[in-house]
Amino acid sequence: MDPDDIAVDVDSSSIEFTLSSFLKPWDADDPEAYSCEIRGKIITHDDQDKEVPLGEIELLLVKTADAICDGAELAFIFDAVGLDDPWIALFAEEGSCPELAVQFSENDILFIGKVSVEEKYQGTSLRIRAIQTAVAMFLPVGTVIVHCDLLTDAEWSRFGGRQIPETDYICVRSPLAHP
Amino acid sequence: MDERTVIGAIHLFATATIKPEGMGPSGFVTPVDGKIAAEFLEDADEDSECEDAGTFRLLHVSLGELEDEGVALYSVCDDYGNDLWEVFTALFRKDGRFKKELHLGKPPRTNLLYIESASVRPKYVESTLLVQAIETAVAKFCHTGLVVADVALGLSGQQWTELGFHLLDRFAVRVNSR
Repeated sequence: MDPDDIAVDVDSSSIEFTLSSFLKPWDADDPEAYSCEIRGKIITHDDQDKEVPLGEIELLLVKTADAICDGAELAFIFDAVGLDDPWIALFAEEGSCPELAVQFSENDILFIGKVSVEEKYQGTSLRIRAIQTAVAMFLPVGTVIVHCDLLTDAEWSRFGGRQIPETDYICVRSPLAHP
Repeated sequence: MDERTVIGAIHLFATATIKPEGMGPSGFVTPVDGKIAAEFLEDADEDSECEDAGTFRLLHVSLGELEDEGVALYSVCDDYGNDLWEVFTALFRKDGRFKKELHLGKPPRTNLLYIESASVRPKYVESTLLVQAIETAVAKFCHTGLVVADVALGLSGQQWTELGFHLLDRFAVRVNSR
């Protein structure tokens, strides 16, 4: 049977998230303890109940509020997760980001590194709904950072996002505005 | 009580439904399965590996999504049933507010995390491992919101209290806020 002949219901899709974390209490001298890579497989099932991959989403959750509470240096944490100098300069000053009016003692950061869907679902709302699901799950209140290529300007503006000065990244406050 | 330091990690697996319109209320509940890998610090060396030390299962409800979709927590807990319904009837009025006599203030609008089960291997029962695993999972899924667990989960009353939980008849309850 041609795979295209099998009915796939995108509206009944889900994301299988996997993540790991060191046990608390976290060590303020161990910057990696305060970040967590989250991988998600976007899937659905066909009419024969076989799993059908629809896409992937990759996130990085940085527990900045816990880090500040524990006396950890945000600059070390951003460095440990591979963020380069501009990010450290932007985020690590005084534990806040004045340009974005963000206080990291009260806001964790969720970086959305990748959201991809199979080509045949590009025209659907699947990417947006996957982002909404992931943010609601892991950062219902906080700061979400995404590369501006991940969605269109119109899509991000509907989420209430705005570009971070001198970068290709968009900052969005969670909870997300309802598009 | 075993005062030895325990190190390790938790590994989590969650399947979250991407919300379509018209989904049943129980679709807003995301089960989270966790495995605990650990060892005593005094046993750890360069060649040692953490062993399978326990498991846990959580139920996560995004209260923000419920609000966005106009779905009542009452409907979600009723539709999901079992323990979640008992949590609702123990803590909430039908309109979603906490019962006044519990003195819990306003209900959070972010997360509800119910710790459905959690256990560790016998060698870790007297250690802090279960407390550490619960705290770590809560940090990932409910840094703000309402955390509820069955008091019979395996922690002593003192441990629940030290973790900041209020002890009710059957449930331990903590409201996390920033």
